[in-house]
Amino acid sequence: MDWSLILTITIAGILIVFTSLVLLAVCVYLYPKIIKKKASKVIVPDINEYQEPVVTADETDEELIAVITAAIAAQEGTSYTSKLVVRSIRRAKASSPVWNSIGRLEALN
Amino acid sequence: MISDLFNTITELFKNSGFYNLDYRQIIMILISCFLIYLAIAKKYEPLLLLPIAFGMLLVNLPGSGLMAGPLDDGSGTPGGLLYYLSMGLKLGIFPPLIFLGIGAMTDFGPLIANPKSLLLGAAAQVGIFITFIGASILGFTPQEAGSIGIIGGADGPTAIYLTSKLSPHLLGAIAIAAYSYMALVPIIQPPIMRLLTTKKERMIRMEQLRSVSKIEKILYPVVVSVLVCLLIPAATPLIGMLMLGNLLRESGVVERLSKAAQNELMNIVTIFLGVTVGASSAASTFLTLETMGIIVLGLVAFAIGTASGVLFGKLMCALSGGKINPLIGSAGVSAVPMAARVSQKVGQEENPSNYLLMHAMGPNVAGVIGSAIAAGILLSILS
Repeated sequence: MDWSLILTITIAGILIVFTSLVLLAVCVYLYPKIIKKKASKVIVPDINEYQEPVVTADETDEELIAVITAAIAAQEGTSYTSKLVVRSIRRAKASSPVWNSIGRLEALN
Repeated sequence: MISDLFNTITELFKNSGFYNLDYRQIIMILISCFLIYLAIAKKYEPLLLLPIAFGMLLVNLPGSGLMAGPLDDGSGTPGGLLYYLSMGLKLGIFPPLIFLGIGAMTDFGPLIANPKSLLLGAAAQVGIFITFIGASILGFTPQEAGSIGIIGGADGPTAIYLTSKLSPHLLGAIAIAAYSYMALVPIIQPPIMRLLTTKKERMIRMEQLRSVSKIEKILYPVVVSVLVCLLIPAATPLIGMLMLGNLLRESGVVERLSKAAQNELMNIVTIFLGVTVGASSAASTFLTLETMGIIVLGLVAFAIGTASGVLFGKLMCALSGGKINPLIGSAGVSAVPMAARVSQKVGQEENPSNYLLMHAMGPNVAGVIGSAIAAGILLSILS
C-alpha cells in the first residue's frame, strides 16, 4: 500500500476543499459591497411603490395584516422585519364579476 | 407422448426462476423486502429507498436478464431493460440531473447572508478524507477507499456519481449505505453533537440574517460555477448542473423550466436512478465482506463529518466571541434539509425559543458544494 499517496491525497484533499470554499466565501462576502450602491437604489423605491396605494384601515384583523405583510415581503424578496412598514390595508374592489370569480375558483380547485 | 409432455414441463421448470434460485439471491430478496418495509412503514427516505429496494428485488430474480447486455454473437439480440436504463448511472448522467433539480429547489440566501458558513461546509468534509485513510488501512484500493469515504459527504447523488466513475462494482453497497445513513441523520447526529458541545454553547442565539437582494442571488450561481469549475474541473458536471438549476430558479424569467427541473425532471430521474442503483446490487457483488466493511466505514465517515463540523463550529464560536452556535456545524454534512433540522431540534431542546434552522441552512447547502468539490478532487486524482 502506497502510504505517501494516501496521505498526500488526504492532506491535499482537505486543503483544496477548504481553499476553494474560503475563496468562495471571500467572493460572496465581497460582491454585495461592490453592487451595494446599485442595489440600494433599486430596492428603496420599490418599497415606496407598495406603500403608496395603501390608505385608511377598514380591516382590523391582525392575522390578515400579518399575512398580507408577509406576502408583500415575499414579493419584495426582503425580510418583513427589515424595511417594510404596512401602515394600512384596504379592501380593493373586485375587478371581475362575481360569476367569473366563482368560475375561476372552481377551475382552480 | 406422455414422456414428451413430461420433458417439456421439466424443461420449462429448468428455465424458471425457481429452479435457478440461489440461496444468496433468496437473502437479497429478503433484504429488499426489508428495505421496502423500511421505506413504507418507517418512511426512511421512501422517495429513493422504494425504487432502490424494488430494483434490488427485480435483479435478484434469476433468468429475467434485466441487466444483461446485448448479445455479441451477431444476432442483434438487445440487452435487458435495466441494462439500458443503468447507462444513465454508468455514464454519470443521472446524478448531475438530480443536482439540476436540487439547485432549482435550493435557496442559497442563508449562505449568501452568512458567507462564513461556507467554512463549516468545508469542515464537515474532513470525514470523507479520514475515512479514505481508514478504508485504505482495511485493504481497499485507493479508488474504492475514495468511493467509501464520500459516503461521509452525506450526499446521495455525489456518492453515486463518484462511485460510478471510480469503482462501479461497489455502486449498490455505497448507494444503499449513503441513503440509509442520510435517513438515519436524526439518530446518528444528536449524540455526537451533544457530546462535543457544552449546554452553554448549545443555547447560543444567533443574530438574524440580513436580507439578500435579488441581484446577489442571481449572481451567486454564476460566481460559484466560474470559480469552482475553474478550480476543480472534475466537479463541473455536479456543480455546473446545481448552479444551472439555481439560476433557473433565481432568474425569475423561466419559472416553467425551474418548476420542470424541481418536479417532473427530478421525479423521473429519481425513479430511474433508484431502480438502476437497486439493480446494481446483484447477490454476487453485494453479499460480500466488502459490503459489511462499507456499511461500517460509511457510519464512521458520517460520524467524523458531523464531529469535525461541530468542532469547527466551536472554533468559529470562540473566534467570533460566542456569536456562532456550534450546533450549526453538524449541518455541514449535506443531507439537505434533514441535517439543518437536526441542528434546529437539538438547539431547541436546550432553549425552546432558539431558531437555528435558517442559520443551519447555510452550512447545509455549503455542504452540498463542499462534497461535490471533494468528489471532484478524488475523481481527478484517482481516476
